[in-house]
Amino acid sequence: MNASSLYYVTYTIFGLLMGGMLSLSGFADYEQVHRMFIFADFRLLAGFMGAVMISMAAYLFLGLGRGIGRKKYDSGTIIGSMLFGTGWAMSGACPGIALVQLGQGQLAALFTLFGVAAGAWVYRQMATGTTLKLSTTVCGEE
Amino acid sequence: MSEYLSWWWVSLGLSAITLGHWLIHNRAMGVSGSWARIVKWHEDSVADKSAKPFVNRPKLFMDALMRASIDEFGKDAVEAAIVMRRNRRMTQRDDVDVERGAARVPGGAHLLFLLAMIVGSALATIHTRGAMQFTFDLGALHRAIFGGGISYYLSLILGGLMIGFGTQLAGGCTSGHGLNGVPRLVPVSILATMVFLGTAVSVSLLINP
Repeated sequence: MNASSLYYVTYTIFGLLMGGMLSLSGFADYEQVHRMFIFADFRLLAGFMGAVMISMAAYLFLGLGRGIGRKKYDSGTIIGSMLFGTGWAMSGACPGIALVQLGQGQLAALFTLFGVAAGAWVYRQMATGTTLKLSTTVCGEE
Repeated sequence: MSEYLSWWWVSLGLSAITLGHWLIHNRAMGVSGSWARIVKWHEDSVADKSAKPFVNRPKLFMDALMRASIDEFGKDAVEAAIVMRRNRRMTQRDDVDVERGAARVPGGAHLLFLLAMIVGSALATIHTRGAMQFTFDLGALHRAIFGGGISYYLSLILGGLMIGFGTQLAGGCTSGHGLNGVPRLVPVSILATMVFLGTAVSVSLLINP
C-alpha cells in the first residue's frame, strides 16, 4: 500500500471521528447553535474555544503543526466569511455540520447540502473563468 | 441539555481530532477544502491526465515548461526573467515543492472523508437514541423562525449557497480557519473566524423571535 492509498483509510477514519464527535456535541442541533449565537447558552462556544486553546497549547509548547502551510489574507476573506456567517445563522450548518445533520436523520439538511455544493461549484466556475479572478486556495485542499 | 456532551468533552474531542490530523497528515483539516476537491473533480482529472507523461521526469517537465513559457511570453522576456531570478537570492518559496505535490491527497479520500462524516454522525445517533429518527425539518425553533411551506426549504438552499460560496471565497470554514488556523495563530484565520462568528451572532440576534 503506497502513501496515496493510505489517505483513503486515514481520511475515512477522521471523517467518522469528526462526524461522530460533532453529532454528540450538539453542533448539528439548530436550537443549540442558535442559543450559542444569541448568548443564551455557552456550552458549545466553550467547547469550541476550549478545543482551540488545547490545540494552541500543543502548537506553542509542543511545536505541533509547525510545518503546516499558512494562508494569507486576500480580498475575499472578509466578504466570504460574512456570507458564511449569514448562511450558518440561517441553516445552523457549516460545510461539515450539514453532513452531520443529515447523518442524524434531519432530512432538511439535504437542501442545505445542495446549496453548499452548488455555491462551491459556482465559486469554482467564477475562480477559473476569465472574467472574474478570485483566490483559489482553501484550507485542507492539498 | 443532557442529551449532548459537556463542553470539556467537546473541547477534548475536537482538539484530539485536530492534533491527530496534524500529526498523521502534516496538514490542516478543512471540510470546505474537501468540498473544493469535490467540485473541481473533473478539472483535477484533466490536469492529472496531462501531467502523467511528466511524473518522475523533472527534465522533461522543465523543458516543456520552458517551451510553453517561450511560446507565451517570447524568448527575450523569458531570458530576462531567468537573469532577474539569478540575480535575486533564491528563497524556498520560489521553488516548486515536488515532494508535496506528488503526495497530494487524492480526491477520492476527500469524498470518503465527507461521506464518513454522515456515517459517523448516524452511528453516534443510533448509539445515543437507540435508532434513527427521520425528520423533515431542523426542529421546532427553526420552524418557528423560518415558517413552513416552500419558503422554508428555499431559505435552506439560500443559506447553503452562502455557506458554500462564502467558505470557498474566505478560504476556509469553522474547521480550517477556526479549529486549525486560530490555534496556529494564523492572522487570516483569526480574522475570518471573528468575522463569521460575529456575523452569525448579528444575524441570529436579528432573527431571534
